[in-house]
Formats: sequence, structure tokens, C-alpha cells
Amino acid sequence: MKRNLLCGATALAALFSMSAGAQTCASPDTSWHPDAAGTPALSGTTCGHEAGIISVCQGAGGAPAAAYVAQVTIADAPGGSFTNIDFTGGAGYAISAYLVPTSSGCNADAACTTVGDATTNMLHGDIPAGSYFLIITGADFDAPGACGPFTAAADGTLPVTLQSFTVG
Amino acid sequence: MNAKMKVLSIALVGLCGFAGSAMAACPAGPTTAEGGAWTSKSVLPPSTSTLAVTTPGLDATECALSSSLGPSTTASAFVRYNHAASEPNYRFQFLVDTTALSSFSATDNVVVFQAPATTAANGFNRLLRVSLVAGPAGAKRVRFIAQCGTGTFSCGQTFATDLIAGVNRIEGKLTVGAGAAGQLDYWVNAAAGTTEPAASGTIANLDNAAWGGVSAASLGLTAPSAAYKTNHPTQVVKFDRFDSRRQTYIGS
Repeated sequence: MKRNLLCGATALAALFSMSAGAQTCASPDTSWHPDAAGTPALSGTTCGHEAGIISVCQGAGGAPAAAYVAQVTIADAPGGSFTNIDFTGGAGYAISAYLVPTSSGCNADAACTTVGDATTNMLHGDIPAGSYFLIITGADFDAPGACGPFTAAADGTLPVTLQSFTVG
Repeated sequence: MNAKMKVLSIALVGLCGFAGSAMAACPAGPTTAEGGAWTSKSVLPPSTSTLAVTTPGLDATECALSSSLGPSTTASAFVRYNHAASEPNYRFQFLVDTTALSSFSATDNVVVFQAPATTAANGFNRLLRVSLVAGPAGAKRVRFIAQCGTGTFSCGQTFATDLIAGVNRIEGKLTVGAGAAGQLDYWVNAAAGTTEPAASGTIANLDNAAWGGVSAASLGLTAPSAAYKTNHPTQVVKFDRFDSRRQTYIGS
């Protein structure tokens, strides 16, 4: 019975990935590891998380100071099998996503490796292997504070950092 | 591409264009070596990006500069004019026509004008970029990104009115100085005339003295976002009537 409950919880988590708590630059969501089918998608809201990002990509665009921040590790293909990440935003804002190397800092207005939005996928081919902040926020033309729900869906796996285990 | 000289100009910093005579033929290319007025050009990658002098111009002129980028985030197609001196007081104006660009998505952006700096500082070798960015519902707007002495050293501001269909006139006045002496004023599609109107927008307190002054002007497409690279390969943006000065409003 307990095992069944655990399996059920795991399945639910796989269907809908959203970490509890604020997903900010200081505490990004590190839980997104879709499998070869792209499951789970990363879903959440840009409301109530990171409020410090008002400019992105060395000033190339403004942002409404409402962002959801995840941290992802991406390998060169075929190590990471996804080819693109599709973004869907809800009402209240125009979803805009920015990928910034972790080493550059999250809220440092650093150069972006790539971008995505409601009609433009992030392409694996634009992303060298490495660790990145995935900043999901609103568009340059959105009003300050504009935010809303989002889903980021990869069409394949993002690699999971390998862990070492000792069997005693 | 025609450069219109203003007789009221106190000091002409640079006049970059092509023969404006109605009878003159367009030069073979934009650089002085090709019969144009610009110091140099950059076209990368040369196999898919293009930079050409085309007819007609954008202001009842004979020639325009047509720029398009291939599908690469490192693509560029622009001309550069090296000024003879470092310019701490710099006015510029150009015409831009984005008619051939399809609708912008939220993260589409591309640089159309740059003012390289005499001195690199805080990781940047430029004083100013002017970019095309997205407005609502696929519209296009213009964004000014001035280097500044605090924070992340980039101070951006988007003019919150969509560009009009056809030809847009963009003008700026960049002052290089310490603290509040550093400032950018800009005009987007200001009313016709040569009397300086209220600015469309201002970025104040730039504290940009560390960059010295403007050393050159670059006009054309460069630094596309990944979205622009994906959504607008080979689409042409046209430019015309570049003018730069030290003191006097340019207008029309």
C-alpha cells in the first residue's frame, strides 16, 4: 500500500513538475529533468518568485521584475536528446525566456546564450554544453509586475547530473 | 544612401552617405573604396548575410543601404565610419525602414546603430546601441542601450510607441561625462523641422566619462537575438540619410 502511494506520488510529480517555494536567483528550481519523452514539462507561474530582474541580455531587453528561475544542465547532443524547448504563457503577460550561463550570474544582466518565447522555441543547437539559469519572465513591453502562468516543454531529455553511490 | 547636410550645423562630425545628386548613380558599395563614404563594412557570414546599396532611397533620395542577416547569432551586415577625434558631444540621426521584417515575437531584437567608444571600460567598448525590439502584437519598437557607470553598466530604455509602417526617423544626442553630465536624449519620428523639440525620451545620470567619447559610428544590422536569427533570416532592413554632429539638432 505504501509502495503504491509512493508510485502514485512519483507519477504525479512526473506529470507536473513544480517545486514549492520561491524560485529565485538565490534559490532556483533545480528539479527539472525531463525524460526522453520530455516528461515532465516545467510548469508554474512567474508571479511571486524573483522580483529583481528588470533588464536582460546586457540591456537588449527590459523585464517586468517578475520571473521564475530554474537551473538546468545541458549536454551536447546526443547527450541531451532534446532539440527544442517550447514555451507557453498564460494571460497577463507575454512569456519571454532567457538562458544565461550560471557562471555569468542570474541577475547580472549578463549576455544571453539564447532566448525563447510563445512563438519561438529555444533550440538545442544554440546551446553549448554547460550549466545555465533559465529565466522565465515577461516581455520588454509588459508593464512592471506583469506575470502569469507558464509551461516549458522539452521534446526530449535534459541530462541529469550523475551522482556517485556507494552500496554498503 | 544620401546624407543631408544641415547648414546650421556648428560642427559636422561625420557625413556618411552617397552622392545625393538626383543625377548621380549609386556607388557600387558603401565604402570609400567602392565609391561610398564609409570607412569599412562587416558582412558575416558572407555567404548568407548581405549589405548592398540599393535604389530607391528612403527620403526621395536615390540610394539606400540594405542590410540582412543570415541565420546566425554572430551574423552582421553593417558599415562603420571612423571619426577623426573622440567626440564627447555626439548627435546622430538615421532613417530606417523595417517594412520587410515580419512580425516580431517577444524576444526578437537586433542592433541597428552603435557608437563605439574611444576607451573600453567595464567590459564594454561602446557607448551606445540602438536596437529594434518587440512591441505588443508583433509590432516593432526602438530601444536605446547606453553604457553607464553603475550597476551592470548597461542602461536601457525602450520608446513605448510602436514604429510606424515605412520609414522611421531616429535621432539621438549623447553627452559623455561624469555623473549627471552623462546623458542620452532621443527622438523617434519627431515632428518635421529643425528646431529642437522636447525629447521623446531621456536616459539621465549615465556617468559615462570612463568611455572617453564616441570614436565611430556603425549603421546596419548586428548582434541579433537567437529569436531574430530564427525568425528573420535574409529579411532586409533599409537605412538612409545618416548624419552626425556635435551641437545642433538635426531634425528634418
